[in-house]
Amino acid sequence: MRGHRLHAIRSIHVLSVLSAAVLCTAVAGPGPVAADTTPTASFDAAVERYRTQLVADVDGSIASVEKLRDSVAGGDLALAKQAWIEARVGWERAEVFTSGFAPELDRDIDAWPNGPTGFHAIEVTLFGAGRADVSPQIEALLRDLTAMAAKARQTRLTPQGLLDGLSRLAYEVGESKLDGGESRVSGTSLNDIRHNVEGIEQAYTTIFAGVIESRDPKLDGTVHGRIDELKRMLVASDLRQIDQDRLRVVSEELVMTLQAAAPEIGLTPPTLELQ
Amino acid sequence: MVRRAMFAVAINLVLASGIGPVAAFPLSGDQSVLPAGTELNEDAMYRPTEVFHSEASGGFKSYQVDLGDLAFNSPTLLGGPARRTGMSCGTCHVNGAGNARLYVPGMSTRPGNFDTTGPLFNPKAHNGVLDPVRIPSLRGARYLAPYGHDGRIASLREFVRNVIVNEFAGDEPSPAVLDAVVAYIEDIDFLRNTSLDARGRLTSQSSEAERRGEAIFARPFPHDPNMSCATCHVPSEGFVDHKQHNVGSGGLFKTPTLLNADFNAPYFHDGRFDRLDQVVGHFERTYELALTPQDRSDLIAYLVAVGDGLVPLDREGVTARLKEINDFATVLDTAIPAHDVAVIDLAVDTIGRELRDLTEQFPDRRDPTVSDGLHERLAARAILKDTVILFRRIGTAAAAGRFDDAAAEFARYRKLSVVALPQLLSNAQQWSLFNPMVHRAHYAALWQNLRQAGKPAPVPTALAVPIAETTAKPAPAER
Repeated sequence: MRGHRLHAIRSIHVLSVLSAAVLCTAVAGPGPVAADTTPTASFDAAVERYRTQLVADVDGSIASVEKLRDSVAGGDLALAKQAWIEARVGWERAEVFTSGFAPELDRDIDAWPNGPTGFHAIEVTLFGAGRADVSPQIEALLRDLTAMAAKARQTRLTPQGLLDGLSRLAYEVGESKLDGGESRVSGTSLNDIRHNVEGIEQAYTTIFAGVIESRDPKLDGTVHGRIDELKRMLVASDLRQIDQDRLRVVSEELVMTLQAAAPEIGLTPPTLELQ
Repeated sequence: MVRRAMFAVAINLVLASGIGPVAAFPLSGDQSVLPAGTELNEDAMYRPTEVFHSEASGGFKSYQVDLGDLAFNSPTLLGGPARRTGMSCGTCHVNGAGNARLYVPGMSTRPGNFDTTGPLFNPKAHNGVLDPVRIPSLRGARYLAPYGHDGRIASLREFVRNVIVNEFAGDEPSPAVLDAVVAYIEDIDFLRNTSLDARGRLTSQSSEAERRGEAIFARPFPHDPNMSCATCHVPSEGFVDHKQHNVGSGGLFKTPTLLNADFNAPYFHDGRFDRLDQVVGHFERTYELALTPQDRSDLIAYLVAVGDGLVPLDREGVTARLKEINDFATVLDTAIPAHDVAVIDLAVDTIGRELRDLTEQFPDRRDPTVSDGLHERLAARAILKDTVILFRRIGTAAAAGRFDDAAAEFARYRKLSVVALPQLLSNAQQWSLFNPMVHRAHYAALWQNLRQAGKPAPVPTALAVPIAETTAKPAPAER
């Protein structure tokens, strides 16, 4: 019976994916109608400038994890916690790249709610249990982050992939944090969001702002306006002080604007999930 | 419906921040953000069935009822901490029923009760004492005036307004929204009960024990021949008399209905009793009823028959969630052509919240507790996220006075809601948190984290599963 049902589900699956692909495109906005007539902008130089920042962020995260490793080896729990918090900075900024260009590594590094390795496995032991017996997880994290840094240096960075990553991260910023957010055990979810927004601003300003401004200054102004509002909201000292309804609205308006801007620069409106 | 787990966590966040000093940033990490009472939704696989009178009688819900349902489930109707924590009327009255699991530290003395005149939600309404009241079901509320446990307010409309404005510090609702919420509540029927006829008498299908219990229910009390259970719980009047009485529970309280009571534990105004036999025991002592063990068992059998209802619970799943969202969206059929920006805003806000919440039922690739069906899960997440942005475009267009654009976007939603949304979500359902096995694995992982982190235990499970103590019929599987 169970097998039969499974079979039935599988058999409609092919059809549904086909129809859904069409419909998903339909829902993602006006569509890339302008792509045929709009000269494709050259992003090569901008993308390489972004790569420098990206590599610096991932390298910065690695340096902090090395500090974390040394603190743990020296039995200094307070310093270890501080190093963990610092290691998240570059990591969360780099999410524009990591989630789309290296999804498997991203999963291993940032598995949630639990994972044998990754930042959150270390977080639970370090901050939750107040213990420092996380050396094997730190070694695994260092190995994965080093692989990620290599990817950041070597991967061909497409403007479309980066606009997708940017938009997905903008959407994620608006996800509900009522449950304490991603890094709830350490109480540093607000840091995560703040560094996400820094990553968004860094990628947008470095790669896209100039071209969009030259073609549609109003759209560029709207993007900057939304990013600035997010930054202002996230100055709060505590996650609980943030108007999460407004955070969601601004996040969605930012996504909408980026989707509207894509055809202006010869790109397809970004999809919000890597499939 | 705001998910209960989310609220449970969120309310604790507010408790931690609203009534105490806010921790400095950056946090050291020593501060817990997951306090006692957190239930994490791990057994919220069912929710109360909602029967609408308009639909049960062969018609359709009106625009007003749908709008009321929407407002009822929108945190924006409330104010202060309730709104900040994503709480809505529907948090306590899940699908218009009660919520036996709701527990707010400092405001509840047990799961299922809650101090509506406490300091948290509106300091102005604080009466200085901890006097939590049971969260009542709203089924059949149109038959159950006066309102409030003490029956102090005759009008449902006035009562609802009082809850919004005074108890939960909301802005004064517009007359249209207030009327709509009342229309919604008045459309919620009791669950059908085939044990009873239209006059509240047992039908022929009843057991001997239930019939003997019915006779005891109407039998004069030994020390007061003018009184019986049926004097106040009048069977032909929905088992109420619309009056307040002192039955030895600490004051004057209105007679609660016994209809569907099997699903309304805990009992009494403060929710002090978990089970009907405890209720019977209280009356037995208070009124010296001198029941024999047989009498007692017959009376309980009768109460269980009266309190029964068909299909009390709905299985949580894609179908139920999408239906709720579609019903909410129905108000836009009217509100967009009417250029009613306030209602459009309300709909966009509430539907977007629901869609985002639904998205989280489909774990992304970072969640190690489920490995199969990644493609299907991501496809479900993608279309839900796209739909969130679609609704935001409706809101933005309406706010700018571009109602034709809003209508065009809404038409696209309608198309999606027919095939793509239900199909993509159903394809992924077996790997979603709607699958009890996936659900268990996901929440077990969360709990493992918390245990390792030395966080407090959840609400006692003995109190958390009221259906196990009733005659609730098993809910049919969704598919």
